Parts: sequence; structure tokens; C-alpha cells
Amino acid sequence: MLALFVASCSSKDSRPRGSVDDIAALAGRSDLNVLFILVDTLRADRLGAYGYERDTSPVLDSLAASGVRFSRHLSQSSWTKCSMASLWTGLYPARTGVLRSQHAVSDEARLPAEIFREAGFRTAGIWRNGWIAPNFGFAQGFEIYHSPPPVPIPASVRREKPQLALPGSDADVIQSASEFLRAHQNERWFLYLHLMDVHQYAYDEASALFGSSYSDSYDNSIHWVDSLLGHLLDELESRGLRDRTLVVFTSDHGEAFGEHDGEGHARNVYGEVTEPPLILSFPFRLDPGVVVTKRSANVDLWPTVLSILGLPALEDTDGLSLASTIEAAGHGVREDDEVPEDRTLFAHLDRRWSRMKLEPLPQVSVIEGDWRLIYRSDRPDGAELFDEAADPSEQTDVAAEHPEIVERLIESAERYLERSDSPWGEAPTIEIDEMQIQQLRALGYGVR
Amino acid sequence: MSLRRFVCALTLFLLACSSDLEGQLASIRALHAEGRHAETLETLSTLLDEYPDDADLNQIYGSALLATGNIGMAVWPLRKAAEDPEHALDAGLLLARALRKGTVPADTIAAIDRVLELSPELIEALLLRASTHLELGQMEEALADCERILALDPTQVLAQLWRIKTLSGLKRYGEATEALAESSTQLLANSPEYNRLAPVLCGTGAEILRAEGDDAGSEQRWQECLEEFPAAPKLIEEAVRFFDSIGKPEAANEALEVAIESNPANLAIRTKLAGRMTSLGRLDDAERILVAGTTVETSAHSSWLALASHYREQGEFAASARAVENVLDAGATLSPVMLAQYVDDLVQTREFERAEAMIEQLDLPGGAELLRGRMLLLQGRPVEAIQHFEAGLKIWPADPTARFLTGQAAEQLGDFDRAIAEYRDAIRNGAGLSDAALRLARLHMAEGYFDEATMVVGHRLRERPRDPEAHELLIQIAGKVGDRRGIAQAATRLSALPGQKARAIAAASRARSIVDGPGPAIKIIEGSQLDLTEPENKAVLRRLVEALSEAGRAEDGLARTQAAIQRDPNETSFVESHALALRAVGESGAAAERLEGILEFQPDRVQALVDLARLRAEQDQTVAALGLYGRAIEANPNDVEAAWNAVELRLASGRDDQLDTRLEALLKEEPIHAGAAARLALRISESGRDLDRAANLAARAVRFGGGADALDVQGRIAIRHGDPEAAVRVFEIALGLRPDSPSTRFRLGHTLARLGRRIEAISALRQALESDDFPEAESARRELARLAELESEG
Repeated sequence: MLALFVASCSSKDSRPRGSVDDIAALAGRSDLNVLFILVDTLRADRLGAYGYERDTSPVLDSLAASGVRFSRHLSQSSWTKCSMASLWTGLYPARTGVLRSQHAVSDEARLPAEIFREAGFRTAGIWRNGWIAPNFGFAQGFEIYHSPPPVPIPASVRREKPQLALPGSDADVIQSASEFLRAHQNERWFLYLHLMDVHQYAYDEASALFGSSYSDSYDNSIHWVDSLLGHLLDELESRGLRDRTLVVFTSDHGEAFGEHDGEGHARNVYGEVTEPPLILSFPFRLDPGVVVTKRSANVDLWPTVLSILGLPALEDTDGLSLASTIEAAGHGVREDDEVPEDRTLFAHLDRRWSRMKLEPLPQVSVIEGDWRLIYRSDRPDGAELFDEAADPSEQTDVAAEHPEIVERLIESAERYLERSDSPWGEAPTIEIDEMQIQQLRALGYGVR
Repeated sequence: MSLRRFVCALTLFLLACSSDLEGQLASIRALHAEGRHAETLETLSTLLDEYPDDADLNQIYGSALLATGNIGMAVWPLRKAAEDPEHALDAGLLLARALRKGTVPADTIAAIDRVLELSPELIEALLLRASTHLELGQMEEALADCERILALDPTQVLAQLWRIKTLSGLKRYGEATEALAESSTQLLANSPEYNRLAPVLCGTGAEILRAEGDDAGSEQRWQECLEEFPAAPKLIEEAVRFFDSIGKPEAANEALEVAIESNPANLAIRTKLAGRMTSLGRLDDAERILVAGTTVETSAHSSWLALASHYREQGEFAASARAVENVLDAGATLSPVMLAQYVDDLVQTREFERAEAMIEQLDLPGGAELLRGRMLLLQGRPVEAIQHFEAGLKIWPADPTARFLTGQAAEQLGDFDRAIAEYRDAIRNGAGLSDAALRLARLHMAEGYFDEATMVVGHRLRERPRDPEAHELLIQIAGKVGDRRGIAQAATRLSALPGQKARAIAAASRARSIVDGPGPAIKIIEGSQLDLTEPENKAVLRRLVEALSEAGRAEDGLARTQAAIQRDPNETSFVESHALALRAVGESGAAAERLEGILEFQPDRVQALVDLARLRAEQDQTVAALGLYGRAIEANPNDVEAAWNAVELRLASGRDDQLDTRLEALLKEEPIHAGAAARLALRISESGRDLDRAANLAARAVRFGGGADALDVQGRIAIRHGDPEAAVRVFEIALGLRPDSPSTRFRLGHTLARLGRRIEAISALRQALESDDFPEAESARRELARLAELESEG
């Protein structure tokens, strides 16, 4: 079956042509499905659609070219659990309280899957990352929240990190998703897929295109996952579901390759680990596609999608619906009434997330316009400031040249960290059993 | 075509042609009844595309997916079928089974609960839930399910077993023991089950005793169980774990030995025991155990391959290749990976032609590239080797050995940044799977980055905690940074490894000698209580002789070596140490006599050759010394020290024929040899051949610890490069490291003069001439005079 994936290419697209003005009409449709694809550990700048010179992502590029691409998107953390809690709730990490390895999303939280289910959608999640396991509260609203048992990895699939023992591959998720589509093609559904092969740097021979370094392998894995998604989109097409499905594509965080202090993720909140892609692909083709250049964030994702679908909103979110921003961008206008141009966005990581016994050590990215401040709670005076317009890779700290901006953004960071208005009080903590600890270690996380 | 295949083809054809869904399903069910689920998947999926809401079809498809191991796909049709009231029970149970094989046991519980709501006494569902609760450690819930099952059917053996385990888990040991006795009695009365479950029950009894805290009772019980069931694999596995946990690995080994005797064809137990022997350093025992397996007909092939793997781990590639050939000669086919390993053995033993022929047969994408890369590297063609490695690494990016070898090729080409990057990638993919960590640690040591070196060795030891070389490296690093406590700690850890005490003591003594001189180094040896007349401690004896000589107590060294020879006159290394001691007390003739005596019988004995070469060099017998060094290098091309000594001797004696070739060969063997790099750089630069290469070599020498000498060479090359400013900077750094070098100071003065910085030049030359015994003294005087005259002219 894997060979089928490799041979597959998302060549067909039977969706009718539409315009941004048609987006508003989606709220009135009762036949619309939602496919939410999250590729773990995917940084935006490694996709062709985001300007990467390598042809890593033809399928996603085509999705972006006929949909809406958010060009300056921010995840709320560089660690999956913290980031996903914010993505699903629309709240910043300081408010979800999901900051440490044993924290869970509160049962009191109302998550998008619950809204979909109440609206009559069949809801299913297929995942492979142990940080979003049901006991961390992420299964809320899903009828089945399924981690497919791994099928032995085909001999053609390589992994850059073989010592990380996460079994199986994303082919398992895509195969399982294909069967979901077969079984529920006549119903209305919300399907969430959380893919892990980019996290694992896994790919097959056909995707071994970009050299032999660690960074090259990461690109290879993007190409591999992109080809799997091509198969899935073909599956939608062949079932006549493409023009009945809104596809939402993003990631929980990026990946570092030594740009600042190290490699990997879940260590800091610089751009390379907090700038994932966000692409919306509608049941019709936008031609040309729309690029939203205004800042957006993962906390905006569900407020936006739910509002487009005309479904009840998540309450009291930090994120905003970007529907009006999309419309404005589609008409070539940057300003819109709903989303202020200069709003402040945050990404947050407790650097001691794996060590519950130690005091928190938060690091916060404060984004305002082109500025990004990196705030460290243990040495606020050492905050770094980057001008992303002039220095997109954040290599030159200009804090000394702009003390007034630094001061203002530090105040923002400190106010942010002091927020205690979580809708459900402190995040519940759970015991992680030995089996789960092993699963998480298999992902390369040093859980203590 | 066989009849069976014909019938199968006909059935599938009829399936495809039939338009009646019921009829098609009946045919599919018939195939399923024969266990031929895979053949029906395509038809079923096509039918489902047409009838996606048909519950019956979903259930059949789901069950076929389940039966063919496609669990992740099966859940959706089964779930869909289970929503239909008529299929809720059967499909629900299948769904629960599918989920049970998944990674989230809690999902299974929810699915089974739905089934049990419909049929509360369904034993299969209760068993499934009990096992899930057990996995989740939910003992109360598991116990309740087991008791419910046994109330419905007291003969359910699994429920009996799990009940015992849960009672024990709940610390209700009395009830557990009672239940165990009941179950055992029942089993004895029910002989067909006895063979399968009696060992499990026996082991469970031992586990209960352990859980109660009665280790002695448990041990006795395990022994009794092993006597009764010496070949029961699961029981043996548990018993071994128990014996290891109470610190009695020998008892575990004995259990494994007995198990092999009882069932010689059990390769898993054989390789486990061999692995344990290997980790204890008992390599001969490991080999014996594996060789014995090759005589067992039913497991001979696997045993040969296990033996090959054992040899490969020890670096005995020729032996490994010969072991594999036993399998190939018998006409067996190897998997592509095993075949690649065999070819690798051939490459490593330099059987290149055979290796090349086998590579052609290899059906392993990328594998051929990696093997060719290694072959080219061994043939001294690093540029081509890297090209092949890169092609192979595209397909096998995580292969630590390929990364390591690419690093080695990069080193040979002088690209040390690339080498370090490759070593880091190799370590990232398994610090214990190649020697990249050890090599990178050495590179960092040579660079003077001792923290980095320590960290890299730490990675290695996390994966291979018993690697003696890594522990020894830690001792060396500690010595370099003057960390006495570090030396002691690392030596203690190395000493604790089987057979490594002598190595630890010798290394610690050497390291302390660097920090504090010979006194403490001698103390370490004397405090070790090692019997230096034992051949296994020969390295320590030699080290002691060296330290005693340094301390001016050469006579003591002589006495120690005499004692050792008296005890074992045939131990060659004792004679070598004795010769070393004789040389130290000034009896060079006697020393040479001893060494020649050795070489008469062992002409390739490297240590004796090198020791005698040194002696001859001291006696100004240069030709003889060079001959001896040549023999030593031929006997061991990796002996960099001998090669360097020979180079130095040639330089000192003005015999510089083929010196460049010799230096090139030395650098190929050890690319970070600072002395060789600096010397070659200077020779190339002086010949005016390739100034860029000379500059690169000089930079290499500076990077890897060449110190003031290397900087001096770098400055001289900068002058030839027409960059006197750079030369001045480099000379100044060199003089910062070694202020009392008149030659470097002369060169600084001379270069300053060229730059018109006359006063500084005069000062430098005057300082140089404070010592008048250096080769450039006359030139310095002339230059000083010239500058003084110019200065006086204003």
C-alpha cells in the first residue's frame, strides 16, 4: 500500500473556482467537513510556499496557492503539549496552565471537537505523539481518538533518529484516515490528523532528495509527508469530498538547526521553533490564492475556522477570528476592522517543563509588529530584541539600540506571565505511567 | 497452476463478477473461513465504496483488516458496524480487540464496556477487559473481572492466573498462594494444559514470595522451578531477571547454561548467554557457547550468523566472514542487510575483489554506496570515498558507521570542521554504534577543548558504560586539566570493569605523572596492590619502570623487572620492561642484548623494535635505528609514534630522503599529528611548491596543539605568502607561549624590520641575541648592525 502512496500525486482538483467573498457563505452550508492536518515539528520556512528554494512540498504549495496562506504565523510554544493546549483552546499558555510534563488540559475546557460533535459532525482524531494522549485531556469531543498500532516500517523508510523508538510511520495515520473517509463519506465529519514523521526525520527512498546532513534529512522527511498528504487529498478527490471539505493545515512548532542555542525544539522560543505554517484550503479554489501578511497565531486558528463555519465560538479566547483579515487580504487590503495591526502576540516555554520538582523557568517571545523580544524570567535584563523586518533569522540583538522598546515589551512579558485568569483555575496534573514515559522517551524527550 | 490456486482465482473472478451483494458476501465469508482474509480486502473495499453504510459489509471488512494486522484501518469500519444494533455485539467485540492492540488501553475499556452493556456475561469481553486493567495496573478492576469470569466458568485458566497476579499485586499474598495451590491442583488433573502453564504457575509462586519480601524463599523456589522446567523459555527469562536483581548473575548464567543443555536448539537463550559472557569480558566462553550452537542441525545457520555477529563486535572481521561463509556454502540465502554486513567484513579484511563481486549482488539501495565508500577509504582514496558516502547517506542518513567513516575521510582531506560535523551526527545516531565519540573526544582534546571532550565521552559511556577506552580517555582528559579527583574517579570506574584494573592503574599513573611528576604516579601503582609479576599486569610494570626512571630510582625499576622475569621468564613484555630498566641505569649494551634476544624469535615484535631503535639512535647508530623503526612501522602501520620518531631521527641526521612521503603517510594515519603537519608545512613552503597547502597544514598544526613550534612555522609561511603583518601577529603569539625562543624572536625582529618598524625590530633582535646559541644568531647580529646603522643615520 505504501508503494501506492509514493506513486500518488495530488494531480486532480475538481473544486470549483471561488473567491474570498464565497467564504462568508460557508457558514450556511450543512454538508461541509473539516480536515485538520497537523504536521508536528514543521517550520514554515522549509516549505516552498513560504519561499524555500528546495522543492520539499509540492502538495502543500499547491494547497496554499489555491487557498489562504498566513505568511507570518506564530505557534504558542516550541513544545507540543503546551503548544497544542493553546491551539485547541485559543488561550495563551499562561492561561491554559499546560506548561509542564504532568499538566493536562482541564476537563472544564471546551474544545473545538466538542463544538463539532454537538453540531452533528462525526469527530475523530488519529495521532502518534504521546504528548497529546487522551490522559492529557486532548481527546475531549472526539468520538474516537485513535493512535493506530504501528505497522512495521517498510524497508524503504529511513529514520534519521533510529535511536528514537517511536514505532510505525505516518503512513499508518494516512491509511487509517483513508478508512475513516471510506466509512464516513456520507456523513459530516471533523477529522484531526497529527503526523510525526517530520519530528522523527523519517522518509522513504523516493524522498531522499536533499543531501545527507541532519538538516537535509529534515527536508527529506517534509517531502515524504507531503507525498503522503498528496495521497490523502487524492482520496478526498476520488470520494467526491474535496468540494465538501475545508482543509486546515498547520504545525505545533518548528525545529532549530543551531541558529541560536542548539538543535531540536522545546528549548527556547526563537523564530525557528515558533513559526509554523498555516494554510486554509476551502471547498473551492482561490485563484490566485490569498496571502495574509498580518501576524497570526495558533490561538487564532479555531476562532477563525469556527467563525467561518458559523459554529459557536470558543469562549474568552486570546485568539481572534481572522475571517475579516482573510477577506481584506483577498481584496488586497492589509487593514481590517477586527484585528489590530499592532496587536501583541506571545509564545511561551517553561524551560523546566520536564522537571516538575523545580521552580518554573519561563521564556517568552513577545511579538509586536516587526519586533520580537526574547524574555527570560531568570535574567530579565538579558532580554534580546530582534527586528524581523531587517533580520528575519534573528541573528542580531538590537536591544541596546532600542531601550524604550525593550522596556515596553519586557513589561508586556511580565504582565503576560502574571496573568491568572485561567477559565478553569490551575491545570490539573496527572501521573504519567511508566508505559507512557517510555513512549515519550521514544520521541526523544528526557522526561523525569 | 495448482488446483488450489485455480480455485482461488476462480473464486476471486466470481466475486468480481457477482452483482448480488449477499452472494458476494457469502463467497467472501467462505474465504474468511479458510483464513484467506488478505485475498478479500480489495473486493471488500470496492464494495464498501459502493455501500459505505452497510453494517454487515463494514463488519466483514473490519474483521478482514483485523485478521491481516491492519489494526489502525480496522477500527473505522468496525466502529461503523458496531453502531448498528444488529452488529453492536459482534462488531463491538472486534473493535475492542482492535483497540486492545493499540497504544491507548483506555480506549479498549470504553469499547468493551459498550459490549458488556449488551452482554454482561460475555467471557471473551471480560477477559479482554481484565487483561487491559492488568496492563494499566488497575488491580482492583482486574480482580473483579477475573472473579466474574471464574464465577461464570471456573475452568478459565487465564482468569485463574490473572487472579493470582492481581491478588499478589494487591498484597493479598495469603489468598494469592491459596489460589495458586488450587490452580496447580486443577492443572495436574488437566494434563493437556499442564505443560503450557505449569512453569508459569511455578514462577508465579516464586514471584509471590519475592513480593512478600522473602528473597531467600523466592530464590529457592526459582531453583526448584528451573530444576522441574529447565527449558521453559518464559520461566528462564523471569528467573534470570530475578537472579540479576538480587546480585547473583552467576546463578542466572547457570540457569541459561542448563537451559541450553536441555534445549540446544534454543538460539535465543544461547545468544543471550553469549552476550552476557561478552559483557563480562569472557570472550572465549562466549565464542565456545556460540560455536557449540553451530553443531545443532536445526539452528546451525542462525548460530553461524550469531557467531559472525559476535566476531564482528570484537573487530574480528575475517573470522566473521568465514562464519558467514558456512551459511552461504550450505546454499542458504542471506537477507540484504546480512549480506551487506558480510560484504563489509570482506571490505574490512581488504578482500576487495570478492567484496566488489558481492556488492553487485546486493539488493540494498544505498548499501552499495556505503560499502564502496569504505573500500575506497581503505584504499586511500578519501575524495571518492566521500562521494560514495554522501550518496549512501542520502538513503541511510542515520548510519553511524557511515557518518564516522565520512568523518575519517574528511580528516584525511584536512577538512576537520566537516569531520567534526559528521562525528557529531554519528554520535547523535548512537554514540555506542561507532567510534565517532572516541575520535571526536580525541580531536577536542588535541584542540584543547577538554569540556567538550568530556561531554562527548559522556555520550559514549551512556550507551556503552563498560567501554574501557572511553574510561581511559576520561583519565587522560583529567590528567590534561590537572584534575586529580577526576583521574581517581575515572580510574576507579575503569578498575571496576572485568580485566581492566591494570589498564586503569597504568593510565592513572601516567595522568598523575603529567600533573604532579613521578612521585604520586609511583604511589598510585604501589597503592594498587597489583602483583606486578603477573603477566596480566605487564603494562603497569612498564609504567612503573618509566616512573621510577623519571624519579631517579632506576635501580628500583631494575629490581622489579628482575622479580617479574624470575616469576615468568617467558613473558616477553617483562623482558622488554627489563631492557627499559637496564637502559635507564645506563646498561645500554645489556638492554640491546635483551631486545635482540626477543627479536630473534619474534622479529615483528613492535615494542621491542621501537625500544631497540631508540637505543641505537642514542648510540648514534642511525642507519640501524631507522631500519628498526621501518620494521616496526611495517609490522604495525598504525604506530604513529614510531613513524614520528623515525621522521625526527631522519631530520636530526640530515637524511631527508622521501621525508615528504613519510610525513604524508604519517598524516594519513593520524591527520591531527601537529608535529608532522608543521614539519610538512615548512618543507612545502620552503620548496615553494604549494603555499596554500602549506598554510593549511600549518593552521592544522596550530589547531591541534602544535603550540609555539607550529605558530613559528605559520609565521614563516605567512612571510612567504607576502603577509608580514600576519607573520608579526603569529610570532608574537608564539613568543607569548614560549618567550625564550631566540629563533622566533629573530624572525619577529626581521619581519618588523621589513615593515619599517625599526625600533621594535632592534628591540626584538637584541632580545634574541641575549642567547647566542641559536642557528640564526649570525643573521641576527648582521641585521641588528644594519638596523643600528640606519638608525644612527637618522
